[in-house]
Amino acid sequence: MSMIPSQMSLSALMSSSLDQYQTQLSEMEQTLSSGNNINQPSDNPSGVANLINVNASLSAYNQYQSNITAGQTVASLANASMTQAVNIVQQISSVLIQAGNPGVTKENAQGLASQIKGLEQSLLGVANTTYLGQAIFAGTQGGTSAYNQDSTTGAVTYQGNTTAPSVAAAPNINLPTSLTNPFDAPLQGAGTGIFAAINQAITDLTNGSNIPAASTSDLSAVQSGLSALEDQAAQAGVNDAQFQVMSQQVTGAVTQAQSEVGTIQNANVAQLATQYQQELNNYQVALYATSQLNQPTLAHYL
Amino acid sequence: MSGSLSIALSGLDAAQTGLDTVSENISNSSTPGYLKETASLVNQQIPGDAIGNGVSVAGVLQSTNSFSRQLELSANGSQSYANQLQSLLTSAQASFNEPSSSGIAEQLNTMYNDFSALADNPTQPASYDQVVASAQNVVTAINQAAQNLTDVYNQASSSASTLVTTINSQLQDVASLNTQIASTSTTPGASNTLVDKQNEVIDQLASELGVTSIPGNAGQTTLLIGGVALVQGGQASAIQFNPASNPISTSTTAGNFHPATITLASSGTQVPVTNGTLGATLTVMNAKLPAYGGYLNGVVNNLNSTVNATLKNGTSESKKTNPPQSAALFTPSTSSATTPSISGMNASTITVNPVVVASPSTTIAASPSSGYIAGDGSNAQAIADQQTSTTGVIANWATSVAQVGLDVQNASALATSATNTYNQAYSAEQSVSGVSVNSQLVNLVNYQQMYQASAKVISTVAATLQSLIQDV
Repeated sequence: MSMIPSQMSLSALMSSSLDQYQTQLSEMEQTLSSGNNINQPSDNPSGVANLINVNASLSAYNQYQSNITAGQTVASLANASMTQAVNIVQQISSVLIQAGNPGVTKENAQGLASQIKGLEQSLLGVANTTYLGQAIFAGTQGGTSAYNQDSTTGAVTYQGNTTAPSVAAAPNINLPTSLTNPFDAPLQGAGTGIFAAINQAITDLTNGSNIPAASTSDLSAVQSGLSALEDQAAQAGVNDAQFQVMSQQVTGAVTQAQSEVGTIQNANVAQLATQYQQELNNYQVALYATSQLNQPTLAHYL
Repeated sequence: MSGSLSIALSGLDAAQTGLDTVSENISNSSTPGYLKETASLVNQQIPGDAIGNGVSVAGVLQSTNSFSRQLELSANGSQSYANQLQSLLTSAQASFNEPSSSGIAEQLNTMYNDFSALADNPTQPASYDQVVASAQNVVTAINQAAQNLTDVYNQASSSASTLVTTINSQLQDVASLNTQIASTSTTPGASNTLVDKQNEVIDQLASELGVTSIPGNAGQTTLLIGGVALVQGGQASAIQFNPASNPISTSTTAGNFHPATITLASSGTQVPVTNGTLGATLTVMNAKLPAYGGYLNGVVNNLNSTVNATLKNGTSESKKTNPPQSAALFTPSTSSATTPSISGMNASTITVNPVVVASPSTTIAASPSSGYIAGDGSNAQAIADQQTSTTGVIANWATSVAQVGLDVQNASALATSATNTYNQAYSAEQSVSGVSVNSQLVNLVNYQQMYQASAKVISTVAATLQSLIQDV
């Protein structure tokens, strides 16, 4: 014999059924209103773990992108500065070639020396290029100038260190933003490097005692320095280009991470709206059934 | 002829009792604990008399089935357990505030990003300020989650304490009703209303405590939990709630955590409550909340073993020129500002080292391996690299959050299953002892017809007697 439902068991069953529909509808409403599949960990426990991890990757790549943007600004500035430095040294080289012309007098030589001094100051200015108040060719040392010129001897010394500043552009990839001591000045004393070669030429021209040296050995030294400087400029160009390549790669990684987050978290509104409508229909049917089942009894017909 | 009148009168009386029973049943069709009543009619036979002497009411019986009743009580306790478990775990889950833009994971992301920015700009004071500010946001998120979890613990503890007071009163009611039922057991049906009332209280106790009800002598009921008698005859044993220790401050200290227990107030004997609302509360307090506190403390321990440890090994301008100092970014709030210590740091006490807050540049950015190099941010980058490590703080936190979500999901499934089981058990029990209005109305018609027919018999016998009197 089948079970005879009592008024209380009927009420309990109907109430329980309606409660379940209402709970399901409430959960779907929450997803629809937020647009998110996961509003709390229990919505998708494994999904929430993936979401947190993918969000961490997305956050890290966004930071890499930010690092690259900042680093590329410095790398581009370094690249442009090195190109400018090469141009200046080429001008100095041209002036020294003029010193080799027959009939250059002592006065002419002093004029050429003065011209080179002006170019040297321009070169020093380029060598002390700063970004946000920090000399970009001073390594990680920072400070307002990378090179300092002795006011008495004219000797130029390097103020920075040998650690190239860099930015984190991707996991385990650091890109150098600039060059350390690209003008090859010594830490102290006259030493070698492009400034030492230029200063030697200025001395020879200013004294007038060894004018031919300006267009021979001095010119050779300056051109040697120019060659080294061109190598450094090329390196600055490579650095700049590396940022462009890495920027594209990181942008791709950001897009992929965003896509993964979207796959996990973005609700399929069309599908959900259809499911919601179906659930709403079921709920209404259950409401109708409740109203019908709970009303008629034998009392109606007695 | 007088025999006919007497027999018809007994039919009238029986029909009247039947109508009263139907009326009582319909009136109580929605009364919790009410057992359907049936008028027990018996044929009045007189030895040697072929006809008999009408009908009498032997008593008004209550419809019950101890097997279906036990199943219903057990299912009731399981349903309450599952619902309470789901409710408390959902509250605990909300404490974690994940996934959210202000949750621990996002605050950690921001902090790691700021370490990365510091690594790129180690000579900028603002970079250090930013790291300290984001570390403070991490600490705030962890402290808030710990506070939320502590609130859930306090709420569970408070509700358990209140529930035990209610339960003790109900146990006393059952014992008192046992005494009253025993005193009326000799009169059939006299204890029906008392049994109904006792059933209602036992239903509540099954829901709250998961008690087992065993029928005893003279209509009395014995209540047991795991072999421990709570009510026997007219005696009730009061129980006592002993709260658990704080899930945050003790969850990670082995042997320091003491669980919540229920004991007999008189003897201290432990009562194994594993079902009902109270059973679920104990499960959450003794197993789930300490585990969740452990998850939060795990974040704190991970920050100490990664961020603090990396910073401690670093070098800085101040460390180069000054005596060594603790460079821990995270310290407990109880730590001395002058001699920082990590001892006692947990999710409730973690804070940003006040030494670092006062002078953010003491946060180390330089590499530990290469010695001090001005402007070197490799140590900060080493910390930033931990952001996406599969063994890092965020990855471990993600696993913890997923476990909490899984617990709630399982509790929800258990609640749905337990509700279905209870509905079935309740329907089965109600099919025996519940009131079906239709069945009662059929009985009503029967008793009505019986009453009318008996009245007709009396009328007919009276008319017959009248005609006899007139003829004579």
